[in-house]
Amino acid sequence: MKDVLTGDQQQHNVPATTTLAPIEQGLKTFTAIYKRVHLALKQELQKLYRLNRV
Amino acid sequence: MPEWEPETDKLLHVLPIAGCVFRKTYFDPAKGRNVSLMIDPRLVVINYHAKGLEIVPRISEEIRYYPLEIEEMVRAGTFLAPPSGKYQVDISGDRTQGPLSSQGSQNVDDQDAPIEFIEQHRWWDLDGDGYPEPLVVTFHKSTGFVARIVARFDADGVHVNLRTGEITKIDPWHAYTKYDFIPNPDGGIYGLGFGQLLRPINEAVNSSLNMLIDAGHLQNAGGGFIAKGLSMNAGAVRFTLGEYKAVNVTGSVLRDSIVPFPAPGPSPVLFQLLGLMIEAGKEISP
Repeated sequence: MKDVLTGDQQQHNVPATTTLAPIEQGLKTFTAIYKRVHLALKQELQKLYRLNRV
Repeated sequence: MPEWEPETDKLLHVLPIAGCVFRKTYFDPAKGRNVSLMIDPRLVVINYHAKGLEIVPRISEEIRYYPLEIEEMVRAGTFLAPPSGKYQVDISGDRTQGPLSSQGSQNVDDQDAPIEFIEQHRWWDLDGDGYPEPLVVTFHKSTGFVARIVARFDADGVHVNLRTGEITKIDPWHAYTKYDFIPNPDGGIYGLGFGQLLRPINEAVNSSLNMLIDAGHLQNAGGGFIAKGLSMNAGAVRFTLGEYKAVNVTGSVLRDSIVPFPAPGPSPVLFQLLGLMIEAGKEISP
């Protein structure tokens, strides 16, 4: 799965959905991290919104 | 905010390694605009078991200002000048300690060397009414001289009991935003990154690699013991290419008199262990 995520093609003539499934599974950890970064970015933008309002 | 994009880029690169990065968003009176800077997590000190930045009673940040910046702030009235007139670089403290020491030591002879301050976003009962107010207090690190105190709340953030006239609550504004990579499993406020997760493995890999290289070096370099009975020049015996040295003993005596230092060379088991640890590191950091 790690190799698929880094762009390594291990098998030929494999349906796209077969490759997509492990990619989605492998990206679960990253999705959680992006969520946290997104939440923090929202908080930062709220601070900027308050500063621009003052 | 021209620095927003490069600071965000830096933050996103540091975050997976450090696991926790702070962003400080505030109005900079010197620049006349808002700024949002990435702050090294080692410079921000918070109670380890704090529930969150919004409710923590005190956040301290180590800040370095150049003498020119300080002079400008003193002239602009945002900083108080110390009784001596000038802030001095700390010469008494041990600057090998503390997070700023890794960013280069201060040279006391350098008149342009930055000076360390602590900026605290904290609660402090300045007016003595029994209810602390949210403030930003900046003080000189080595002398403790308070250079600046500003309010950390707006007028519309103050809640008053209309019957008694007492302040019931003050909503402070917050300058710091915490970016976490992985939440700390022990409940600490600082997040975890690959730096912490890979550190023990990295140290083991470094140690194994050093041992393997040292063993190989020892094996290649040779060396050993020469019996006193063998009459040769004292000290190290060096050969040029294709050289034969004359000795006054027979071959068998020469063989018996020279005992090479036992150097078995790099251990295959250690090499396999190194491979195992590198693979384990790869599994942790996809």
